[in-house]
Amino acid sequence: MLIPDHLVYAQTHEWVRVEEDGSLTIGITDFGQEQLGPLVYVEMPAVGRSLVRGEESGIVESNKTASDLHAPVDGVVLAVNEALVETPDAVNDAPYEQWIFKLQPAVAFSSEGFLDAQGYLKLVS
Amino acid sequence: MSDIIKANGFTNETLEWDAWLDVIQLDQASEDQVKVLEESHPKAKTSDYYLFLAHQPDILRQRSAAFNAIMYAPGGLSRAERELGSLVVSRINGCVYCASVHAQRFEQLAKRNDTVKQVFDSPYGAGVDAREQAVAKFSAELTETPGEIGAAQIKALYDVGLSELEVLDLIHSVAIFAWANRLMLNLGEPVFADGSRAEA
Repeated sequence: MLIPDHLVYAQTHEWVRVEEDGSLTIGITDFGQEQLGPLVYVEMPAVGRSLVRGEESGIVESNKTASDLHAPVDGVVLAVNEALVETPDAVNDAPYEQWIFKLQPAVAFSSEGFLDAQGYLKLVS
Repeated sequence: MSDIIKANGFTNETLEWDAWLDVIQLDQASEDQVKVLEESHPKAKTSDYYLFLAHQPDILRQRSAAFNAIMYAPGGLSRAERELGSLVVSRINGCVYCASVHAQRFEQLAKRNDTVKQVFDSPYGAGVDAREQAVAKFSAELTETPGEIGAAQIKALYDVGLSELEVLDLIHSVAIFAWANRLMLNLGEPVFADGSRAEA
């Protein structure tokens, strides 16, 4: 199971990458995709939508089950990974390359309340 | 899953399904049979349904491709409404297993179970608003009297805001469950986790 050190993690199995410009890139973890199985559908938030922390912002779905995506912090959706509309299972092949949406946080991102790689490993072990 | 709902022999509990005839044995399966199981579902190698359908791997492959294209195609009808259409068909055809699976998925997507209870009670009139009621009613009519669907029934869907593409997706969702229900109903039976039979 891959848990890269340079990311932070939500307890709901999203990873968050802080970009140089302060925006956030969000996807689901390797553990999350393994639990779901091959994805057949990804519903992403609309670009420009304002989200509040913890808000359901999309759905990832396999033949086995469906799971909500959550906004890690308050912010506005900057972009979504349109490639996943046609090939949702790309997330299974490369969960940390296939981001799902990008968010401009309302305030500078703080990792408080998130897990680092060690903490996330404990959560899923 | 939310609260357990039981009505008229239907349930939103998780059920298993036992085939009446022999399923394939993985240690004797052909390369193609193993391949199609791996393509079909995360639990296919331990599911009687997939292990039975894998007797004809080409048909299982086409079935899975059609199912995924119909139920998960981007755009068009929402996922929850596709699941509602499938739930209604399964309720009318008496497919307890399919109804449980798609009741659960509707609940996951819609984040409520009120409509599930209504469908289990009676698909006609089920739905929390005019659009949902129209989707349920059309799905019931298409299942019970497919030869009588005409402009009036399609207009009823347009009147509550469905687009042409959404209507097409709904018809596909209903139609594939006419097939899926018959496979489930005639190749085996649904069972609860304790092994007791689940029947409508």
